[in-house]
Order: sequence, then C-alpha cells, then structure tokens
Amino acid sequence: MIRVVVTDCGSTTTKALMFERDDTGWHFRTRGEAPTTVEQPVADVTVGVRNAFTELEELSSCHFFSRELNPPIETPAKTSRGTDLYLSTSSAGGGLQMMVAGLVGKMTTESAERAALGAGAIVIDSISADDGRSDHERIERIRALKPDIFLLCGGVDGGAVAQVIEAAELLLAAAPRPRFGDSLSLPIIFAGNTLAATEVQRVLAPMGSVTIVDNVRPELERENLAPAREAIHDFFLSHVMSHSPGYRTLMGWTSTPIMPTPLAVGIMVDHFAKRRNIEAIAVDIGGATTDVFSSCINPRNERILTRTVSANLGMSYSIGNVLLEAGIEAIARWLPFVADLDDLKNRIRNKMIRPTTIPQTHDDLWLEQAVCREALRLSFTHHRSLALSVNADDKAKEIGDAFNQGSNDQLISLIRIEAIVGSGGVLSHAPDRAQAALMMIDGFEVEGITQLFVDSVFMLPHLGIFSSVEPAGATQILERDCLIHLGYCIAPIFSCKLPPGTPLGTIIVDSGEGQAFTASEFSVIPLRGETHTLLIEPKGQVDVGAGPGIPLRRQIIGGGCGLIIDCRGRPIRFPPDTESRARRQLQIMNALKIAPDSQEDD
Amino acid sequence: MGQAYSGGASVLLNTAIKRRRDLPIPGVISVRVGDCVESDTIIGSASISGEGVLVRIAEEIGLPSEEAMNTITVRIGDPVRKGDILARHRAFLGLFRAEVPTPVDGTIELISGVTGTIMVRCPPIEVQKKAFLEGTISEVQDGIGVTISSICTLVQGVFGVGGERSGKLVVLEQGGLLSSLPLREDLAGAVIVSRGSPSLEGLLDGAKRGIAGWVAGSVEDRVIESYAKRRFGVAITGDEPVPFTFFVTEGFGSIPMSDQAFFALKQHEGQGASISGITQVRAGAIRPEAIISLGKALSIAEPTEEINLEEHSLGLAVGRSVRLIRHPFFGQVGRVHELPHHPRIIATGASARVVVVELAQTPHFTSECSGPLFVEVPRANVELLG
Repeated sequence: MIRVVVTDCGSTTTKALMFERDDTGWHFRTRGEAPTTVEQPVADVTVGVRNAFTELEELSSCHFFSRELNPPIETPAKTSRGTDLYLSTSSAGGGLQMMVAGLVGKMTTESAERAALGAGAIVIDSISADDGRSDHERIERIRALKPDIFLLCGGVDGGAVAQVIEAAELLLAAAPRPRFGDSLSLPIIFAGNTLAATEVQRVLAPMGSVTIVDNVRPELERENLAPAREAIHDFFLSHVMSHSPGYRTLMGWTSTPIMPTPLAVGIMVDHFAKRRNIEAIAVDIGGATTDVFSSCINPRNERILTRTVSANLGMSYSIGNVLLEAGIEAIARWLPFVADLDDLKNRIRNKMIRPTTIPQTHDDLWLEQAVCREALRLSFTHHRSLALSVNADDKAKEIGDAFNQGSNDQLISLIRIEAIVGSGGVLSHAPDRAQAALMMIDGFEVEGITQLFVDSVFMLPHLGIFSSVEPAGATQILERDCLIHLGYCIAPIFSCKLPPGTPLGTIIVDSGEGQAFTASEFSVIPLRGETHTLLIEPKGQVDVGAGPGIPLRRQIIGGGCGLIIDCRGRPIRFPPDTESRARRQLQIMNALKIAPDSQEDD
Repeated sequence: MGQAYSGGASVLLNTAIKRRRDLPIPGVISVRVGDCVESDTIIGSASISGEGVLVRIAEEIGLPSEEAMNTITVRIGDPVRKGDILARHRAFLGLFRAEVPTPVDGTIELISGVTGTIMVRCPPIEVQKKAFLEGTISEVQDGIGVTISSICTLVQGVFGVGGERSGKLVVLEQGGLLSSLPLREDLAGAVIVSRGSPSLEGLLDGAKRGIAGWVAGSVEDRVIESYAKRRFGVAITGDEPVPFTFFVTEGFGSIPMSDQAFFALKQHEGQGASISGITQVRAGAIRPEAIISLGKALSIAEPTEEINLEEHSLGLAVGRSVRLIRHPFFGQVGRVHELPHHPRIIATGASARVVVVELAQTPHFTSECSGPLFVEVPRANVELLG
C-alpha cells in the first residue's frame, strides 16, 4: 500500500485529500478541510494545513503528525500512520498576483497576459502604450497595486525600441513595492524585443535586477510563452512563496515544490481533453476568483490550452463583484421565486462578509446558484476574449489587422465543445448533481451536444500536482473518483424569430420511437447507465452540431441527469415579467426534479 | 474538530489586550517601552518614496530623442523646483525658443537618450502612525512598529467604512430606524451607538452634526453604498472619504445589535472610544472595532491575563455561546448543545457537519415555543461569541 496526502491551500479553505494505491490501483480515500490561515491574524499557512490534516485524521483514522519529527509529517506510510509523499498546491493570499505591460494591447500585452495566466497567475492589471491612459494615470495605477511579479514585454524582435524603454521608464517612475517582504525588490521579468533588453536593464537598475528571457512575441504571428512562464514559476517559488506567511515552513514539509493551483488544474484539464481527443472547457469557481480553462484545436490542428482567471469573480470574498458586474436583476432572473431585490442584495453582502457560511434554506441555495450562473457567464465572456488563435492565419498579419481582431480569431466555438467540467465548491458540493448541470448549462449557454461533468469533491488541483510524480495514478483517480458524469445537454441553435412551440427536430434513442423537440422547450429524457445510440434529426436551419439541418448520430453514456433538451435558444430568452420568469425557472427545475416538491420518477 | 472553524467578532469586557501598530514601511519609532500613549500620540513615522514624473523632452521640444539630449540643462541627482527649466532649445539664430519646465519639485533621477525623457522624482511622502488606542508601550521593534498594552473593552464589527477616529460614546436609546430624526444637536465629535439599522437620512444627519463615528447593529446595502458613495465588490474598506467612521456588528439588512455588544458599549457611555471602520474579510483578517480604554495605564511589569484574540475565539465546544450568521436564524444567539461527529443532511439536501444550538430567548427574536428551542445548523453558519 502506498499513501499520498495532497493539500490545496485555497483563498478560503485548505483541502487535504488522501490517495492510496492497493492491489486494484490508485483510489481517493477521504478529505479534510479547514479555513486557510495565510492572512492576519494567524498569518501562517501551516495552521490551516494542520487543521485540515486534523480533520483528515478524524475521518480516516490515520495519524500523520508527530511533534518529535522535523518536518512533523511522518514518512513513510504504515498501516494507520504517516504518508509516503506530501504534496501541495496553493492559491492562498490572493494567489500569484502579476502586472503585465506591453506596447499594443491586442498583441504584446495580450501575449504577456497569456504568459502570466498560463503560469497560474492572476493579472491584476495590464498596461499598454495604447490603453488610452496618461503616463500619470498609469504610474498611479502601478503604485496603487502591489504585484508579486511584473512582466514587461513589448515589440517584436528587431522592432521598435524607444516605446519599450518608455514602458520601463513608467515602471521606474512608479517604483512599486512587492506585496510581501518590504525589504525586497519587486521581481521584474523582461520578455520583449531583444534589442531593448540592455537598455531596459539600465533604466530599471535602481529597482534591482531584471530577469531577461526570450520575447513572448518574437514575430507578429508567433508567440513564445514558455520561457516567460518558466521565469514566473521560478519567481513564484523563490520570491512569492518563500516570503508568504508560513510558506517557508510548508515548503520544508512537502516532497516536491509547491505548485500554483491554477497550473495544477490546467495540467489535468489538458490531460482530460487529450485522452478523449475532444475540445473541452473546465471551470474552477472559487471564493475569490473564477478560473476558466479551454483545450481547443486551432485551424492548424494544434491543441491550445488557454487559461484565464477572473480575479474579481467568486462565490464568497468576491461575490459582491458578481453583484456589481452582473446587476441584481440579472441574478434574480434565475430564481424560481419573486424576490425583493434589496433583500437579495443584503443576503449577497452577508455572504461577502461571512464567506465560509453555506446556504441552509432552498431560497438561499437558489440565490447562490443564481450568482454562480452569472459568475460563470461573466468569466466565460472574459475567457473567450483571450482565447485566440494567434497562429490562425497563414498570411502575414499587418499591425492594423491586429488592432481589429474579430470573431474569426476566436479559438472557442461552443458548438464544437464536447465536454464541460465544473469544479469549485458551488458546483462540486451542489446538493443535487442536476443543480450543477443546470448552472453550467445556463452559465456557459452550451450549444450542440455537450457532456457535463463535475469534479466530485474538488480534487483537480490535487491530481494536477500528483500527476507530476505519478501520472498513471492521477489518471486512474481522475476517471474513477474525480469526474462525475452528469449527463448530456442538447441545445440546438435556431433563429430567434421562431415562436415557442415550433418543431425543431426529432431525437431517436436506441432506434426507439422519435421524440420531437420544439422551440422554448426544456425537458429531460431519463437515460441511466449503459451506452446509448442517439440520432438527432434537426429541421431546416436548426443546427445541433453537424450543420444546419444535418442529422447527427452519437454514442452516449447515460448519466444521473439523463439527456437534457434545452431549446430556450441562444442567448437564452426569458419571459418579460418577474412572475413569469420565476414560474419558468420553477418549470425547468421541475423538469430536472430539483425543485423541493418535485416527485421522483418511479 | 472544533478548531477547524474560525471565531467570530469578539466582545471583550475589561480585558488586557496587546495590539501591534506597525509603520507601513520601515521608518523611525518615536516612543519607548514604558511610555503611556493616548489614541492620538504619534508612535513613529516613515517616508514613502515620492512619485516619479516623466517629462517627455523630445516630444515637448519637437526634436528626435538624441538631439533633444543637447538641450537638457540638468544632470542626474540635481534638485529642482517646480518651474525650473529642464531643457532649453534655440533655433533660427534664437528667433525660435522652447523651454521645458519641471511640473513638480523633486530630484532628477533619469535622463534617457533613447526616449528623450527626464524623470523627476517627487520628494518623499511623510506618513505618521498614531497609537489609536490608549495604553502603555510594551515592546518596540526598532524602525518597524510597537506593541501597545491596554486594559479595555473591545467590540468588533463585521463591516465598516472610514478609518481610525475617536470620540465620546453616546448611546441612542431609540435604536431601530431612527424615526425621530433629526439627531440631538450636541453630538459633534461623538461616537454614537444604535441597535438597529440606520436610514440614509440618519447617517446624513449624523454627518451634519459632525459626529466622529457610529456603531450600529446592521445596515441596508443601498444605505451604506449611498453614504460611502462607493460600491463594494469585496469587503476591503477603510479609505472611503466619509464624514465619520461607521461600522455594523451583525451584518446587512435589519438585524439588531446583539445584547452582548450593545451593553458592552452602553456601560461606557460618556467615555472616550477609538473606532475603526477598516475591514478586510480574508480569513477574518481585519475587523472594524471600537476600543474603550479603561484609563488605568498598564504597567509592563504587572502580570496580566493578556488575550490573544485568535486563540480566544477558536474552539467550538458544548456550552459555548454562538451567534447564528445565516438566514433563517441570522442574528440569533444561543449555546452549543451538541456537536454531532458525522455529517448530516440539511434542509437544502447538502451534507454538512452540524451543530445543535439552544437558542436564547431575546425580545428581538420571539418564539412560539415556551421551552428551549433547539436548532440544527451547519457549523460553518455559527460564529463564536468571545
């Protein structure tokens, strides 16, 4: 028997998971959790880790800590004591917070953002020569934010130098201090025009040393993000982690370096999509941030993993931002009851100030799930704006084109997305799995045929770092214990001019009788267990994924939620008045049997 | 297991506390161990590097960067005053003349021949740190900060706006929604206390009277946003330009202040209170608070029972007082009756570890039951009363 314990130190909670290998392979055993303690007044991440271990000990009857040992975690594992490996990921304390700067917002600055996001960072602001702000405004902004790392980019290799130096001068003028360690200098990475590197170093010399890496955008049409990402990861460990409260101690406990949580999740999402050879999306909706990942194929048939983080959209600390960005009316439209909007706002605010509380009435649960839909919608919109096919066009692109990147360059086509994986407390711990399915359908407005999964107990980050030492074991647990297959959603695309009730096509399951589907319908075909053959015959211009009016045949596996037929149109259309909207939401919940008085199908 | 859940807002009576007061960046500490300090005593100061102002000389004069270097009249390290000439250019036998003055006082820090730019660094900004609470300096960390020991009553809140202020405590008996506006006229400089949820008119009237602070049980979201003229995406506050500091002890909506907090404040009516609205809700990081020092300076040699707020608040155990912090019991208080070990299914269908609480019967929360009322709620939805 081999035992591994993995913790993820999130912004709200620290989750400890125990994996074991026996004669049948690797299994997830149990989990414990406790509030994260990286910030004041405790200001020591190891306190939260120990508390999570304590819960793990209570639930597993294994003992891990020993006061006599240094580090205090017992190794190797024995029957009911110790662990062979202890690993950890972290996004606590706000995660890895970066600022990036480039010359052209739609080119080098976006490449810089993608480099930072792909390394697991949160981009707290992006500065561009063309962002419309004055020097003074940019300096003020840089001074006001306290990034952990600054990534300076700009210019293709051999291109303009002066503007790149101007960006360095802005940074010098602002002289920002790092978030942790007042006596430390801010880590600066330069990944721009190689001709400007020496001058950038000279200009920024008063701020300390500048790490020079290869240009993130050496040519207009080519990105080279890996060197910048590696430099970010090195700084994450050497500067950010080691100076965050308690992390130096925690680093002494772990068997491998601590990994940023989003990086770990990204590893597993890409692995999942590659194994199935599909295009997929995953979302991790946390308390402070919402991370969206997509693994999609560009027109050159290259698989591209894109990760974005919406740093201010989340379900607890940042729930107030969802309220501000979406508006209370947008949140309330998902509720199956008519509510006083001021009361809803107060409830959302109370969650903001008491982030670890959980809903204990249905109304409260539905409100949080309504907020979740809006957080998903907003963060996915953000993700699509950054998930672009940089190498999509064979023709050399003029600078003017780069300013006008349109929808043609978007990497994600929802109708090609075959699977969505939801993770994070509100999805993973939804009391009914169908609630998680509905939140994802509504939040992403899925199109065509989409398979829906949730991460059973939020273990993608744990598996991501575990895969760095035992990839086969991580895959086994991913398939056996992590991903819960919820079911499929069929969302046909059709003209918004079609009135409710218009026939859109027929669905035939396993050569049975055809079932018609009509505009505005939301229904469920129960499909349990085994594999089924699905034939969908859309009418006229209706598209279910093969093209307008083209039939689609697919092998699918039944799931707990069955086959969800969502003909509400895209974007989803709502009845005009609040009472009708509430009734409509209740009908949808009844179709999924998630309203409190829904009757179970015999 | 109880330790897995964090504590709530503390209410401590006549308690010795130690409070760290750190400078924002290293600087000079101006007090010594044993010094007695008032809330407005300066304990130290630090200088924060001034902003750099970029003057694009080449652009201003209309010359290429390299040529613009020949027009520069200052050197790196030169001190300059606003209006001093940084660059002067004469052309056409002196007929055309251009001068570029510095827009600020400061020191020349950068002259770039690549971009034709001069950077003037503004003078450092001096920041002073006040003691905030009355007490005795019990520890000095040179250049960094001090620890102040004080015997006081401490009432923490959950959300506030505005920074650190002080004033005499005045309790508004009417509480509720302050229907009897306007407020009394003798409230200038006071920190007022009301049990209920003030209206916007009430808050604006408080501003008109010149009060220093207000502690209430709760507030409506729309009221606090209108008062602070700010929309709150996250609970990180304290720098709002509000006329007085305001905080709530319970939350948003119309929840009355707990008896514990109200009577703790009421017993000190007329005494000076230090109040802060600074809130940072991340792992319970910074809470708004009111501190009433009890006047007797604490001798550092004197053994005292000093409270570590974190240790004090941790530990959910049978018999401990708790506040319920989630709808439908929001704001009610009671005692822990039972801590079932295994998770249970709650009303939403979720599985959660729960606590059984015997609710206290208070005039604000009436119950039709005559005997003790027990409720089972998720452990995450209770807060320990300190």
